[in-house]
Amino acid sequence: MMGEQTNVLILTGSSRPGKTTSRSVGVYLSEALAARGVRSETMRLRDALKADRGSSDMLAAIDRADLLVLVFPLYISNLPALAIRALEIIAQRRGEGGGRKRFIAISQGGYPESCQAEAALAVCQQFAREAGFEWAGGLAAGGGSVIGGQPLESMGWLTKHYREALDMTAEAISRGQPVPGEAVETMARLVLPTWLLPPLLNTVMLLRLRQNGVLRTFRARPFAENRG
Amino acid sequence: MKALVLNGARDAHDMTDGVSQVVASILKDGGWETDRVTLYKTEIADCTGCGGCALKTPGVCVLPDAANEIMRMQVQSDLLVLLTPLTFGGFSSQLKKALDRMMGVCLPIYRLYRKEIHHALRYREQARLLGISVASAYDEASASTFDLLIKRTALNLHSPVYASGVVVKGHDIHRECGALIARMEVR
Repeated sequence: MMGEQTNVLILTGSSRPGKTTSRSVGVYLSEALAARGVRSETMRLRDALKADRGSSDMLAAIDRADLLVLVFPLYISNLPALAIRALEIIAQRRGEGGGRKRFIAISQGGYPESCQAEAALAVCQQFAREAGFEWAGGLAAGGGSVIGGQPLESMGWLTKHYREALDMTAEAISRGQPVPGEAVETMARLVLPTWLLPPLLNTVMLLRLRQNGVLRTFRARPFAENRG
Repeated sequence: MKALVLNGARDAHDMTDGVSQVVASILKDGGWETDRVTLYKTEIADCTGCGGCALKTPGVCVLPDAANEIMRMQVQSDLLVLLTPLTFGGFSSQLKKALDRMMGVCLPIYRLYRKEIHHALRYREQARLLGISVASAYDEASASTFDLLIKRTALNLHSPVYASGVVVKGHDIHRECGALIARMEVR
């Protein structure tokens, strides 16, 4: 399949309003695809599943697409409920028929290690199998909390590996190929050693706790009662 | 000993609902004081990842619905049972909507835990974790994904002991659930 014949639908699965890192990843991928002559449409599940028309716009967009890309934030090593709800709806609909389409999943989480997303990507792969999609691969991006919904290009070296991996993925999509192994490895690259991250992340978090006036109370145990 | 069963059945027609009653009965017979929450009957909004449970009201979700009461029950429990129709090898959206709102059980600061970065514990004791998925037929790939998901959920919740299993329609569900629950008993 050549690029000009491919229609890509990018669903972003964050339930947060406003700017989200999933959206940042989706927008970057959309632009990388456009640069290669591939048409794409980006849709937020938060809007798609809350609209008065229910999920009909999302399902119609899937009907138009050759390739579905789901970008989601990692919540407890898994997809958020909103994204699972969307997959349940899509699978129910696809179970009623429809042509063969491809499916790519991209997780992005606050933790840096890609292994934290392995269960979520396995769920996505299983969804593809059950819903009649061809699994075209997954990417696990870490350290997403530092992006905070900003454009990837504006984050310099912190998101260089994101951009490289997404560029490789866009190139593969334009050639009708699955996510390349090199993109998976690039996206999983740690920008800092793991041992260094807790003190760094905690320094930033303690500043935020202080700014919010909860530095002295953030360890509260409101539901401890007799549990300690 | 207290147990909390989160029933992630999609609706009243879902056979997971029936399995929930079996699980509650086995726990009761085993001397567990059990809370059971049927999530499709419970209004819980999606987590928006706002960080309020860390930055505004430590340990308490800022959204006013049933999630805080479920978090209280979880904190008070020695055993957390996650019951779900096997959904692409994982949790139903009904179950996940409750789990997503429970991150107040962890602190916003990070630590290395089993060589990975995780949130630190807010409470001293964590519940054991049992994942039971319900399927109309056994599928090796789905069962393997479910095991992996429970393992990773246990890592996130710092559960000291965890187990998972798939119960299949037409099998002896009472026996299969009983065997899984037996793995959670304190020795």
